[in-house]
Amino acid sequence: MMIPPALDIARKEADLSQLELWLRYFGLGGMTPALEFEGIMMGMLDASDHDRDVIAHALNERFTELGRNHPVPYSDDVET
Amino acid sequence: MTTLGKLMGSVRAEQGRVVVAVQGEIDVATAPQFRALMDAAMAFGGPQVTVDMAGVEFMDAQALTILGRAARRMSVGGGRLVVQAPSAHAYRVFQLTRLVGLLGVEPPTASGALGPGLEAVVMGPHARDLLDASLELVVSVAADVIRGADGVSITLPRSNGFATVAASNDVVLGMDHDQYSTGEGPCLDAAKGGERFVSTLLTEEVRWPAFVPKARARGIRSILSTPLLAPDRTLGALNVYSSHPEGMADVELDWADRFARTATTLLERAEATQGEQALLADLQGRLVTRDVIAVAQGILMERLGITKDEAQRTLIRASRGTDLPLAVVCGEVLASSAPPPTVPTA
Repeated sequence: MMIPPALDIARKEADLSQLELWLRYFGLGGMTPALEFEGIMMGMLDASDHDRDVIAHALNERFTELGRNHPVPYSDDVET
Repeated sequence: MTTLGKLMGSVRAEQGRVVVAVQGEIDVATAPQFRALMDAAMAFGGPQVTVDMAGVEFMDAQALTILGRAARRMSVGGGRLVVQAPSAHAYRVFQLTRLVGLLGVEPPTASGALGPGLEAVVMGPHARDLLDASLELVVSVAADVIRGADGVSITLPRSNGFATVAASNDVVLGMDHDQYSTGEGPCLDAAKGGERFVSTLLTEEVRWPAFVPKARARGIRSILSTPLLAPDRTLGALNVYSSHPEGMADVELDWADRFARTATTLLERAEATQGEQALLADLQGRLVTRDVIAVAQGILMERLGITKDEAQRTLIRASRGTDLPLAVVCGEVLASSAPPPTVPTA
């Protein structure tokens, strides 16, 4: 599973600002406020597996829009 | 035409496609009827189903789910779904939920995109919205106030070049187009370079050799192009031309600057407002999808006796597996829990 700040690297690859990613995460049911969310993305705050999965899915839906196939792993993906 | 609750709909076959026309509201109460109309349309077996949504006053996630399922069914069968002439509300919902491409949504017609309030605003021949109307007012007043001016226009950059967004008459509009077609002229130089360009006597002008003869053929004797300057960039140019032999006095340059600053302020405010509105619109769209996802989680929790987190994991797994957005997958969960349609299909 990707741990921050790798998630932030993915965010930049997906060409999303922090706010844009938070909005997507919020739209998928994410509960963490925007400021704390930024802390998670920068690796300064801890997050649950569930929260990280919602972030991963928000990123992967964006990557799907860009023609890529779910590059961000989820918490139950087997590490290769 | 079937009338049920607040939804009216019809299905007809024409010119090799099947058209579903709906008017009214598509919500949890009328969703079964909309689903029945879509099922009837697809039962025709044609290569294309067109959904005419010009009369849709309200729609929520139920409609998105029904359309999403229909789009996939048509695609699997080698056909396609097209959403035609969406109302302003419907198109907004498609945009907010990022489903414009997935559902084959065509852009609304020009009249559909404007609210009725804007059509009451007095607009010039080039105005498309309130910003354009304001800019047309600026050039109209400038043409009256600047002594010696016979025409005023505003040029803005566009993705494929430049365009005149406001012009006080057809001569100045033609002058602008001569610059766009020749690729040279004072308004282009001002809009690109951020500097003022003045040609007080076109008969002696040596710059812009392709453009100047065209301007002179229109009776233009002098031109002033003032850049629209924002703090960090040039937004465009305000152009003034004169056909008077004596041209425009130097003092008129100050007036041109004032009108240029007015136009700049209008453009900057429009950009800031658009940014705020875009953010609000995005947030509103996210609230819609968040609501659908929450209800779907609740349904799975009830149905399967699982926790909220487990329901979320199940739904995310389904979204990954089907490559459908999570909101669409959750919409299907909602749809599967709705009562079956009562309208007989064709």
